[in-house]
Amino acid sequence: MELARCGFMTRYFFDYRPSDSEAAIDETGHELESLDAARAMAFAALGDAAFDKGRDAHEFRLTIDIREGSEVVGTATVTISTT
Amino acid sequence: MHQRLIARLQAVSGLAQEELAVLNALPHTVRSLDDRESILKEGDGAFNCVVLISGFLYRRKIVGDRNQILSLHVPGDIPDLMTLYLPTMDHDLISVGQSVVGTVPHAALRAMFDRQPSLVHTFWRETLIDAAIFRHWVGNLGALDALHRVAQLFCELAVRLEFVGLLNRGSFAFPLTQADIGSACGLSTVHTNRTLQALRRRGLLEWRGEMVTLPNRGALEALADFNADYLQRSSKSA
Repeated sequence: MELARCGFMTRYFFDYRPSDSEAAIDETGHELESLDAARAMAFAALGDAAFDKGRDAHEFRLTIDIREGSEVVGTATVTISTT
Repeated sequence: MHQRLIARLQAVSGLAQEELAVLNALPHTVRSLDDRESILKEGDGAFNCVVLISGFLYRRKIVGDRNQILSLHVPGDIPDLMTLYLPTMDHDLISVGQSVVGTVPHAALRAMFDRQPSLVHTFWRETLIDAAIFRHWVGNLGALDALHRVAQLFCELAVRLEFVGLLNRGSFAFPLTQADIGSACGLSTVHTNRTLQALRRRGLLEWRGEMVTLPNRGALEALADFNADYLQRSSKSA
């Protein structure tokens, strides 16, 4: 994080952990300036995933693990469900 | 120098001998562009059209705070042909990766049409196909999920590159980034990455460095529910 504050980029990986299929581990990642930027990227991805799944009319939950190297540094989750 | 343009017009419209001669004599200046170099920006007035000789161009508009890639262009395309009648740009025209264009003055195009009026129909047809591609993209962006949008994009590029002889056993040079694919498909970068991974896992896409291979185009087109009629594949001038 010290490096990121000095203007260096950090490579964040975004692993998809969906409720209806196996996890998709990100092998390429994205160079970003901060964890906040990574969270924003994860939010946008959740929106896209919800759009894809919403039209299937299935209940669905997706967690995206934000990973730095082997360490998960944040998570973001979307749930589509009815009651 | 207009080899790709001629290949494209032959593939989608057909050209008579005298049309070929006039096209070959079309005056132009060759210009090399770097990655992300703009040819025209929104608001610019254009006095020339560019024929893409090698590389890729895209048309881009900043909508709200997002970059939207409106169209991708392959060699043989004239992505600013409309400036002949609508000279003020309502979007940007940008090179992605290094590209080479032939710059043709509007006056030279008009002189060519005066000399060979049948080419007016050929070039009109080009603008109609351009519009058909836009309609197809609007439909895809409004109606398809991420996997189908991205699959459709690669199906379309393969056909357009094939027209101009740049598809080599399902492979082609492709200098775009994953973020560019996202900008063209209206998807976040992370979800684009995930979608490309899904296509790779199905054995439908290989992307190494700046080379893309579609190992099984038939299966990719089937998955995408792709129909190339709008690109006028195999049809000759009506």
